[in-house]
Amino acid sequence: MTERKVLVLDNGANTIKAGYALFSQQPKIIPNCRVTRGKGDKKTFIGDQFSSCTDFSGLYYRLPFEKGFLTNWEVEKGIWDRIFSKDVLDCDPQKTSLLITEPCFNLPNIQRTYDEMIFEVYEFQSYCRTIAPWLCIQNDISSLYPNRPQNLAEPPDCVLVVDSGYSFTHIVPFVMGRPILPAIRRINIGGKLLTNHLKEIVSFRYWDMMDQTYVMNEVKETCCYVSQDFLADLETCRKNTRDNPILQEYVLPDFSRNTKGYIREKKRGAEIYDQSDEQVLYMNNECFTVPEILFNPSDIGMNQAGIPEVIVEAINATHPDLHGLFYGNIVLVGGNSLFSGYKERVEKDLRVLAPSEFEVKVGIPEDPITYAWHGGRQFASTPEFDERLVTRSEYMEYGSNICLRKFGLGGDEIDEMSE
Amino acid sequence: MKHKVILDQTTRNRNIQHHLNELERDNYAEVPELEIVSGTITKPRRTSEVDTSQNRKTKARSKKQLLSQLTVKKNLNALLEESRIDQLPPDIPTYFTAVAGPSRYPPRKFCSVCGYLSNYSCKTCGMRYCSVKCLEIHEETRCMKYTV
Ligand SMILES: [Zn+2]
Ligand SMILES: [Zn+2]
Repeated sequence: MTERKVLVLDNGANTIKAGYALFSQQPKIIPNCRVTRGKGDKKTFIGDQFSSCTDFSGLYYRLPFEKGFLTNWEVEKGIWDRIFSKDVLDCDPQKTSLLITEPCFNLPNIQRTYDEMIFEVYEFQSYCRTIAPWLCIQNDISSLYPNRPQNLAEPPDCVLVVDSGYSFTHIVPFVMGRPILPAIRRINIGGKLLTNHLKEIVSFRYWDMMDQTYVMNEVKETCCYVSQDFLADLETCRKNTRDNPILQEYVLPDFSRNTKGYIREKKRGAEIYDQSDEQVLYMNNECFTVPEILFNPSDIGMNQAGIPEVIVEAINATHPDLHGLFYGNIVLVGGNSLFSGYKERVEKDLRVLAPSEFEVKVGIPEDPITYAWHGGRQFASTPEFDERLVTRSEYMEYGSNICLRKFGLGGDEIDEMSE
Repeated sequence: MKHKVILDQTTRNRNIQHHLNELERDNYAEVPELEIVSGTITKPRRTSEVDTSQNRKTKARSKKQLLSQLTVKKNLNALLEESRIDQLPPDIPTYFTAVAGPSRYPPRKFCSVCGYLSNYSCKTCGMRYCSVKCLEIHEETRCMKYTV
């Protein structure tokens, strides 16, 4: 077994987090897309090559994922080929065990394609496929709640993971390390929708940015935050510039001059701006009405509850004896957890919604994007990992059925833990 | 020239749904025209060849054949249909059963032009506005276009 390397690959719809379990402290974060620049040179960037792109106008994106599921394997293979090449991870599949993530409730026919791709096309020595929230709970969860008394610092029996990513948001309750499948809930809101929504309202109100997904994603990540008092913030935004601390002046990047976008400092009183021809985007209520959709999908007409309400819905679908444990062990992961104010708002809303006898504790890892990868790295060094692996020779003998059996997460006995 | 068409609730709801689907596109570029008459969906539906052979033979095919088979582009709707998860008993958790339910609170109402709270809706298309100024902008630019 000394020859074997373990590659941990968190295959997200937006970015791939990949690295070897033994040799990497941090994963490489690679865009999971193929991007073509339409104008002029028609240059194509695959995965990590996108980091060499400097002109982000008029980009055409090809994504292997559609609504959170891997549907375009032609694009995905191009990106994986690049990642496994000498230029990136220098991976020899025949000498490598692969630990890879898939979306919650992946479709059985898509799972079969994973198996065929990994064993028959790439010929990995062995592999294990699981969901990212499960990898998250392989981390030391108790360290996320630093104020907890020492005697409770052991791994909790119940953990509720809120994974808010690019395509959607999943609420996944775990008991003794296993997901309670009937209690898992999905909200069809993710970072991609938020960026597209921001792009749309900005284009109607200020500049036409419909063609500028990359730039608008930067604006979202730079300016947007989760409000703690939505209606009060909305009122603040009506005030004039001087009395409105929410208003931000985002200077759009100018690719012809190679300048990056940034928030410029507001000028006071009689000061005037130098009359340079920089384009300024005024981000006012857009700063918080966009992330607010995570908490109120009905704001854009979607007939689903927001994250705090759905946490309650998921917990209520578990056995009543467990409810208190879940409210006390909530973990926030995924890219949307990076919005400032996100954790505080989840906590605040939950405090109102949860039965008063339960303590509400919400934890957030330092890096909510790579948390699953780090959990995968932990898991890869346990004996349980070897038990879960399916080897290529097993696959050649039993086909996809053995993957179905070994990768399944919820045992029948777990169903009894649901309501 | 202004159309004097008034959208019924079904069409309005369908327009909202259509807009939500648009927000999922990879290369969202232009704002498409609104569906004006209930029941006609003008967008062409993409259909792709569905591989119905549940039992792909592993040994008989070459790697090249396999790869070309695996990389056939299928959209999610086709894959959902192919997966037959809709035919499973309702107590088996799937992608369909996991969908979160509606909120217990009524939806808030925002002006579709400026984003502030709104008390009025356009008589023609049902979209919200908050003031005479926003109504004017709405009528000039946005009435009968998809938006929030
Ligand atoms: Zn208005
Ligand atoms: Zn109208």
